[in-house]
Amino acid sequence: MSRTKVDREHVRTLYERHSPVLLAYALSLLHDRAASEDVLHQVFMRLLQGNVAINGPPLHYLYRAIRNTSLNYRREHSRELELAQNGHWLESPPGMEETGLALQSALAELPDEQREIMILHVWGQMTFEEAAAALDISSNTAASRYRYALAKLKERLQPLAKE
Amino acid sequence: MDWSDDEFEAFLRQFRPRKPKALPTHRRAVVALATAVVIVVALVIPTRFASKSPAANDSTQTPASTPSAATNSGDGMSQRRNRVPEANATPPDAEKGTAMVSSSPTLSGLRGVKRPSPPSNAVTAASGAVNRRLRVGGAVKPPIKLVDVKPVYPEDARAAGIEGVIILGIVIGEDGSVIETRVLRSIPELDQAAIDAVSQWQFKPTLLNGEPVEVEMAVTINFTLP
Repeated sequence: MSRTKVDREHVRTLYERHSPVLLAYALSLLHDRAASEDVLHQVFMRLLQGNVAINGPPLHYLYRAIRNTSLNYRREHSRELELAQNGHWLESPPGMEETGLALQSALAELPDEQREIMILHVWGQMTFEEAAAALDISSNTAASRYRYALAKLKERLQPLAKE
Repeated sequence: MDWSDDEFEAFLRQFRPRKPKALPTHRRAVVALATAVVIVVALVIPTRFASKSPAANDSTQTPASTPSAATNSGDGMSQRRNRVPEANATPPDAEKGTAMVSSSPTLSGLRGVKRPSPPSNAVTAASGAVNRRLRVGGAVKPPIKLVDVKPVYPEDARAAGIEGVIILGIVIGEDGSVIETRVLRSIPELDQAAIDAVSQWQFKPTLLNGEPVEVEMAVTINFTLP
């Protein structure tokens, strides 16, 4: 498999374009904004320092790196994270703040693996194939996890949204 | 009435992820640029003044203060860099506190960490280069550990509640012993304990075309308190 290094300019572009969703992904795992930004910056700093050789598309690497770094962080700092819980990672359109909160708590109740496919597909705008490659699962698994997650969210949110 | 998946996705996308802060490197780049400018100015101005009016002492006063500021900031940076590998905690015996050790050559952050030696792979090693050294990763599997020594949790660190992960870059010699250790991710209070333990490890020698070779890999050592 070929390994590529990502040049600094490309790293910047990746950051500009994808950092909000990557941050959301980290937040969905850590529920703490400061910790999530730390994780995000750690991952990008490693890239900028040029110490990382990447297999496959850089974006896929980024999602994996965010997940691994977040999980490491969660393991090391579980006590602090329990206290924090300040991770509002979605901005609601005006007048829909309540729905936004409901959405976020519904997302928080999903299992990690369903939530991450939600984030990658809906906000990361990745196809199932891309998301599956980034998460190292089969695209059928990705699609079925997504269906479960979507059904649960619909069930929770439809009554609110249709009011 | 129910929403279709597409409608529902569109509904979800109205909620947008928040933007994070800018990367800290932008600021670092600016600082580096500013330092460079100060140094250049500091170097250029005195020579200009000197060539214009060699006898004028007043004019050299202002620029003279600038280089010292520049070198100070330079020293600050190198101090910060040097601080990391320095480990001075001596590890007295400790019974409480566990140190979990795992070698994780696949850890993403460690691939291709800059080494003093030229990048070596199977090809250069096979071509009979003096430095026969493989790096774990890809087709090169980590060697099998024969002797494992658990790190001793330093008393000071335990008392202070310091825990975390240390990452060491190690070189395993042709005989399977650890001949080089470098701290890649440091916790100053715990580094020495990790190095002491890892230095005692023994691995099964790695053979390339039947000949033993040196192997580079990264190991993570996890210090956790109960």
